[in-house]
Order: sequence, then structure tokens, then C-alpha cells
Amino acid sequence: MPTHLFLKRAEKRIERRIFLKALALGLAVPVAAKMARIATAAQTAPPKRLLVFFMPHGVAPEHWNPQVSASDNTNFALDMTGVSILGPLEPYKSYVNVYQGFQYDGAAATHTGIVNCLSGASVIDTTTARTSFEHVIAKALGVQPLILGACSHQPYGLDSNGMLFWDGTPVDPQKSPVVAADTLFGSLGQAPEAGTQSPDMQLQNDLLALTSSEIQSLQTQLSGLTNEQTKLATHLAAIQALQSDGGASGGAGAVSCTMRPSMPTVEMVRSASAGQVIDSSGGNDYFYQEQNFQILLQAQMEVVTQAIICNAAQVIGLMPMYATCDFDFTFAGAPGSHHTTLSHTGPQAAAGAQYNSPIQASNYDTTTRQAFATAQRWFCQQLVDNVVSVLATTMEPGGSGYVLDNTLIYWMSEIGDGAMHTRVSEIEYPQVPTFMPLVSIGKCGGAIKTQQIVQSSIGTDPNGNFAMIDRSATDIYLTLAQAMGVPNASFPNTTGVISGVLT
Amino acid sequence: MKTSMKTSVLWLSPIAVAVACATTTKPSGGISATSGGSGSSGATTGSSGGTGTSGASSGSTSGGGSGFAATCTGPVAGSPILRLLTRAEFDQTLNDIFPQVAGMWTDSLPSDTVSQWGFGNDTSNTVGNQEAQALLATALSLATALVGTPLNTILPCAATTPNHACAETFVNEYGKRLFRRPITSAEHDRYLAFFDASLAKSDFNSAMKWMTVGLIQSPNAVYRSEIGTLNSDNTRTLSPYEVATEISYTYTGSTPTADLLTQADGGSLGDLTALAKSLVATAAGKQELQAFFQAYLSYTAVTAIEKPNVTTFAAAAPDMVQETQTFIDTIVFQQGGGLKELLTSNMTTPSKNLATFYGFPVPSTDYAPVTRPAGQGIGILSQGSFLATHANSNASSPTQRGLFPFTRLLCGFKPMVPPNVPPIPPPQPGVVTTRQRYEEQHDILDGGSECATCHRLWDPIGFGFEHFDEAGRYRATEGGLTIDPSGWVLKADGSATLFTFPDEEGLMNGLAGLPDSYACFAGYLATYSYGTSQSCLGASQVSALQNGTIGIADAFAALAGEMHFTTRSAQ
Repeated sequence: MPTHLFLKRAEKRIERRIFLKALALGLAVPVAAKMARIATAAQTAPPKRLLVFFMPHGVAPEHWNPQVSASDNTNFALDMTGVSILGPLEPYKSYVNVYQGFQYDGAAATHTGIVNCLSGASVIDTTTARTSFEHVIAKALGVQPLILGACSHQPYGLDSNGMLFWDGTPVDPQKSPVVAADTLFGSLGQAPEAGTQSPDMQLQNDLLALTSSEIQSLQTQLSGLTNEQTKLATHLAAIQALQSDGGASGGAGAVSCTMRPSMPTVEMVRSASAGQVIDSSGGNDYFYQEQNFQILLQAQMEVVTQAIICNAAQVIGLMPMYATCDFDFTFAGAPGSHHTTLSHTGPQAAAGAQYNSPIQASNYDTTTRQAFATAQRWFCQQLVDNVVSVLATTMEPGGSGYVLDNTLIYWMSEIGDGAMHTRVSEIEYPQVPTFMPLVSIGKCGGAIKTQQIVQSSIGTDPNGNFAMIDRSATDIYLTLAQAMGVPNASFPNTTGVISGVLT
Repeated sequence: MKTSMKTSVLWLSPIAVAVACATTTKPSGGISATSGGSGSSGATTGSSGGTGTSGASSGSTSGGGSGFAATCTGPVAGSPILRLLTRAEFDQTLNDIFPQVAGMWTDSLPSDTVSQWGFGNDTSNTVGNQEAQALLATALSLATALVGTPLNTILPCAATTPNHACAETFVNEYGKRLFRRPITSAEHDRYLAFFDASLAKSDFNSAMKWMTVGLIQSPNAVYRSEIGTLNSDNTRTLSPYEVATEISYTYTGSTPTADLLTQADGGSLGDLTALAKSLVATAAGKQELQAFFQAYLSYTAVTAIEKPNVTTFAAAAPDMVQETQTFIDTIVFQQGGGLKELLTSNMTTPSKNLATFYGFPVPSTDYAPVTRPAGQGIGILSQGSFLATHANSNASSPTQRGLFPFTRLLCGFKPMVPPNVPPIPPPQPGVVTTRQRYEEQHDILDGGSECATCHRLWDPIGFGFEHFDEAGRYRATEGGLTIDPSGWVLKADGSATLFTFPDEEGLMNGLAGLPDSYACFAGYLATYSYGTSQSCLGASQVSALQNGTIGIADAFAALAGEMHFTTRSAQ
């Protein structure tokens, strides 16, 4: 047998083995197929990767805002403001941008805005189609986003408080880091099995055409029933997307790891969750239990980090908890329910004043919200310890810089001030402006100019007072999309790319 | 078609008036019964509307604004719909149709999308990109298992004559099971043409596998059709197959049995209410009604939460779930009880360990009934599973506990939380009671603040549960301080006081005496069963439920006798 033919057949065997393995793990067929192809493909230059990281319930601004020196927005400290939620990022400041003066648009108020904060959609119902910006970018790049969650919704199902990521319809994040890890890396490093090339992909495409025709036939039968037509149109578009994907993978190009990366926390979760029998309500599901939240988040972060390093996923979303989630944060040194107790703690005047006592610059008590800030700093610490610090010290294959140089992490929350439930920039009380907590970390392949406080117009009102003039957060999405190499992305209410962010 | 009707039936839907506290809009969608206008669409006239004045309650629900209650003057047919199977329904369906491969395939489906009413079976659910991918992967997983060893058992001709005719046998038999009706000739030809083309490109097993995937992910399989055929009077009559499907999923959570489909072949399923009643009595039927209570009360979440100050809580929580399930089984199925019994029974069914946790008499065996100690609560809302899930992690919460009766027994509307929510001061055991903290913070007694505008509607209800701590245990005092469990229940629009109560027992008895409670509960039950919150669809049972002539299980079964079960409006 000629060598090249032998190799070609061997390659096909590997493809089939990876394909079947991925399917066994429940990965969508197109993804499995593409994964099989990319796993055997040649390496290319490091791609840009995007991670969207959610933190619920906003912040206490007095413990968030960087301390800028001499009005120089490139000269700031992240660990100088009380509890310093951003403090753990101080060593990585050269990778950080903090965005100020951006608002969420739309009719949403308070936590309900989680359903539209990443898309810029104006509606807050749960049936109108919308697409969050990571999915917009992923579609443009032709990759399949990896959406992960750690207790990202209630055990009983995906209600509006968990609907952060959208792909036309709400996306349910993968709850299990074990499934995610096995899907991404399960086949790496294993010996190829015997077999021949499967005609599966061809038959699958034929089948999707059949399903499309069935939906269209049903549409014809239901002519005049508007709601059902809409329902079927969504379904048809989804089937057609499967057809047109042709097997979109998670990463752009080859998976750079040849062996399954070490993920000890994932293995701990695997052991702990093995054999669980979930009751009909899902209430006892290991992956939604409060007591497992910490380890689940850390395990998901392991998956995220290795997926980025190995280029197994180019666009990732990670959602710990959900809006109004009331997990107790005693473990983080912040006793109390995260939503109703910690985040709802408002600014107070000092010296035993009641919550609604007039707050003056002279009596503002920065200790009041230390517990909430401590809880939010825990999120930052997790992000730094499990993702940022690893990416910042891991060289890209071939030595072309560090992984964080080619990565863009966008860290956000659904509201600004946890107690005030802001979705626009405000000055709620003396000397502490309230911004949406929006941060980017990473240089995105050199496309992002970092270490700066990125501000929209901040000026004075007619009375000469400090005033915010917000831009839509979708301007950030537009800018980050361009940085990711998606110049034609469009979002609602944009006014243009933010100047000074792109290199 | 059901033609008899009850007149002037009070109907509270799970959406209600924009109450006085509402500073924001009502939820989108929902039920038109709350408006006094033209009412919901229906196959009959006068289906709803009016002024919103209750016909069955003595004026207790004549809310202001857009009308708290509707008078349902006759049977109503809702819209024709395609209902996406829930994840549980999809799994159970495949296990019932292909028992030979049970446990051999992987379900990749995402969690069900939950409606604003808390139910995962809403008719608005559809197949988006994620669901489509997951359906394909799940179907492929099953089909891959199917064409392994089990295929020769399922389809004997696969071993002897694996050809077009053999595939046709499969399509005809399993197509009918998966589509829940005989496949049409066009469908027959379409699938066999696909099989033939696939066979030309691969082998019998591969062609069978992908054809099976197609049948499983077909829109005819993943949606329950409740469309019917249009009649000359502008109504739609559901086919026997559609009704068989509806009754099977509603009352067993799965696809019609082959026998039921054969019955549908004959054109009639007989007395639907009687059939539904027989199904409700089965294990699957009981599970379906239990699933309603799980969603309605959200009590099973107790196993997913923590109470840092109660070290024994984690061990007790699973038993709390079982306690509540057993309690419901006892009241609803064994005793045939109704809402009144559910709200006011003085017994409960803890495990021995849980009884010790509560400080209750220890039952003879786990989950055997015991009488609750006098003065330590009655009814399902005094169960640990409810009380612990409706509380903060380190303290009870009159707000969360009061909101449940307000929204899900009185159908009051909880508006969106305003932007600036002042903090509740942290618990100070021995210094201030929880009630005092909430009264002060929400300005309940003075009532002049923005907080009080809304919280006066539900916090005083929640005060009734103050003898129970955050873990659901009875407490005589709170850190040595006297507990005041008295309170009051206002009309959902806040316009008047419905009753006052001295304690939890008084609260439960008061709620059990309100017509609104029955109408609202019936609204939730119908919304869960029909997957839609259109108004008055299941209103016929309200009076009987209220006067105690039928229990909850029978009311559930009686929904099969409503007009909506067999008839739909044109649009």
C-alpha cells in the first residue's frame, strides 16, 4: 500500500474514532464531525479566543472603581479602593481595561435585564429572538461557542433569571464540567481504533434536508396560525443552521494539545457526581446544589482555561450562578445570601444611621458594603487564580507569546450597583460614581490597547455638576467584535467603535 | 363536544391586576381574562369579559384597575397549538417506544425553558439552535444503540431480509408510535425514499439508523399536535389521535400506548374524564400531578440550598422532599382531598430523623402520618420543604413566604423590584425579631413609604410563618424574643382587608375559606395541564373544588372534560 494512502486511511480511522467518541458524549453531530477533522489537522498560528464571564448582582462601586492617578486613565491602581473587588487583577493590570460610562439599553429593570444585557435587545420577554454578542462573534467566525455554567439556573429548569446567553432562543449552559471536558478532550491521546470512514456526515446532511422538508410541509398545513408558524420558522432556521454549519467546531483550526490536559478538579467532580440518580424535579441534581457551587465553578474554569490553551474552543461563555441566586457566601468570608442580603446592602451613612438617613460626603460609610464587595472579589480571585494567571504564564505552541496575549476575557454583570440595581451610569451618592462593572482582560492578539480606563463622555451638566453621558454597552460589543476579527458585526443602538481601544 | 356549562364561574388566572403597588408593567403575555374587555378567543361567545366582578365570591375579588377576576360564563376553547415535548416527556416517550435500548443512549437535551408561571411545559417553547442540535444528538445516540444487537429483536426481518420491505415495516409501526398517528402516504414515501438513498450510500444498519433519527427528531414527533380541523362554525375539532396524545401526556407524561392509538383508530376514546380519572390513579398519573406540585410549590429546591447556621439541615433536606411528596399522596390520592385539606391538614409525614429534626412525635415508620403538635402549624405551607426554600440562608423571610400565598393562591401580581432596594438589616438574634426588621425596613406599620406600597400586600401574610426558622423548624421564641405571628391578608389590589389572623393556623384556615384561593389554584392547575394561561380554559371545576364535592385529583382529571380538551378556536 502506498504510504500516503495508508496515512490517509489511518487519518480517517482517527476521525471516525473521535467522531464516535464525541457523539457518545452527547456532543452535537456537526461539532463532533468537525472536531474529528480539526483534531487531525495541521497546527496554525494561535487564534484569538474570547471568554465572556458573568458575575451576578453587580458591585459596590466604592469597592470597585479603580483609583486613577493624576487624571491619567492609563495610570491607575486596582487594589486601592476599600475591599478592592478588582484587586486580584493588579498583577495583570497591563492586560486590563475597565470600561466606564456604558449602559444597558432596553426596557429591562433590575435583574430582569439579564435577558438582554449581552444582546442589546430592547425587549425583556423570553420568547422574542435575540442573539448575545459572543454568539454573534462565534457565528461570524464559524465556530461553535462553548457555553458553560456553574449552578447557572434553578434545578427545575431555565427560567428568565438564567437566560444570559442567547442564540435566537435562550441557551442552557452546560452544567457539567465533566461532560464539557470529555467532549472537548475525551479522545485526545487515545490509540486509534480500527474502522473505515463513516458515511455519517453525508447521511446526516441528507436527513437534515428531510427534516427541513417536513417542517416546511407542516408550515403549509398550519397556514394562518401565526404563532405556530413562528414556532416552526424558528425550528426550520435551527435545522438549516445545522445544515449550513457543516460541522462547526469549537476552535479555529487545530486542537493544539495532543494529550488530554490535566484537570484535577474536573476529576474530583467526576468522582463526586458519579452514579447520581436525579429525581424528577431535578432538585437533588449534584450540578445544581449550592454546596457544590465552588468546586463546580473551579472545575468549569479548568475546562475554560484548557479549552483556550488547547484551542479547543474559540468562543466561550461562563455563567456562575444566576440573577437573584441566593447562595450563602460564608465560604468566601461574606456571610449571608448573595442576592437578598449581600447585594441589597445599600450605602449607608455612618454612626448608626438608618439605611435611609441622608448620606453626605462627610458621613458616607465605606464599611457598610464590605461583605458584598468581599463576595464579588471572590469572583475576581477565582477568575485570576484559575484562568488569568494560567493564561498569562502559558506559552502558545511554538513560543509565539503567552496565551493571554491572544485571549480576550470580557467580565460583566447584569446590573451596576447591587443595591441600586442600576443599568446606567449614575452618581448615587457623594463622590462615588456608579458604572456598570465591565472589564476586559487580555490583548486579543494585539488588537486591544490595554491598561486603560475606557470612558465614554464624562462631562458636566448645565449646573456644572459631574455628569455621565452613557454610550450603549453594545458599542463595547462592536469594538470587541472588531478586535476578534469580526468587522461586520452589528448590534442595536451602536454609535461606533470606541476610540482608543483598538490598536 | 361538551356542551354543558357552569355559569358565572369565578376564574382567577395566574396573572392579575396591576395592583396599587405596581410601578411597572405586568408580565408580557398571560391571560386576557383579567381585562374586562372582549375576553379570550373562544369557540363560544361570552367566554370571558365583563367587569371583572366575581360571580362566585361575594365581591371579594372585584379588584380595581383592569379587573382582578373574570366571570367565566361558559366553556372555552383555546388556541390551536403545537406543544413541544418537555425533556422528561421526550425521554419517557423514547423509553416507552424503544424499551429494548433503555439505558443505552444519552439524552443531550437542555433544561426545559420555564415560563413566568414556573412551568417547563409552556406552549411557547420551541426548537432553537441548541435544542435542534441536542435533539439530533439524542436521536442519533438512541438510533445507534437501536441498530446494534437489539435491532433483530425489534425488527426480526433485519436478520433475515434486511431490505426495503423490512424498512417499510419499521416505518409503518414505529412511525405511528412516534408521530402518534398513522403516517401519511407522503410521509411513508418520503422516509422510504430516504432509506433507499441512504442504503445506496451505506448499508442497511446505517440507513435504518439515520431513518430512525429522522423519525425521532421529526416535528411530527417532537411537537404534540393540538391543531384539529377547521369546522364550518369556525371552531376546530381535535382528531382522536390528537386527543389520545393530549390525554396521555397530560395524565401519564408519555406517549399514547399502542392500545390507546388503536382506540383512536376506531374514532372515539369514550368518556374522556373517566379515562383521565383512570390514568390519574396510575403511578404515572400520580407522578404527573406530583410534578405539578413540584413546580407550583418549588419545594424540591430544598435539597439544593444551604443553611449555614443549621448544621443538620443538609441531612434533613432530602427527607423534607419525601415528606411533602408523601403528604400530597396521602391528602390528594389516598384521601381524595382538595385544596382545603391540603392547606389545613394537621398531620404530616416525616421520616423518623426528620421528626426529630422538627421536634415532632416520631412516626412508627419513616413517612408514616403523625399529628403535628398543637400550635405548630397546619397544612402544606408549614412543611419544612416549603418553609426552608422560602427563606434566606440565615433567617426566615416574611417577604418570600408571604409572596407565595399572594401570587399563587390569590393570583396577585408581583411587580418588578424597583431599582433602589434598601437592605434588610442583618439578623440580630436576641436583639430584634425578624418581624421587627421587616416591619421597620418595609415600613409596614406606617405604610407611607415606597417599600410599603408593595410589601404591605405580602409581608403581613408572611408574618404568619414566623414561628418557623429558616430551616423550617418550629421555634417558640426567636432568640428569646417573643414572636408575633399575627397578620392580615389584603385583597390583591390592596383595596381592602380580606381577613386577619392570629397565627399560621388562622392564616391557613382563612386562605382555605377564600373563593379566590380555589379559583387561583384551579388557574395554575389548568395552566400546567394545558401549557397555556389563556383564561377560563379549566374553570368548570372551581365551584366543585371550593365546595368540596371533588378533590384535587378529580379536578385534575376533569380538565379532560373541558371544551378546550377537544375543541379549539380557529386561530
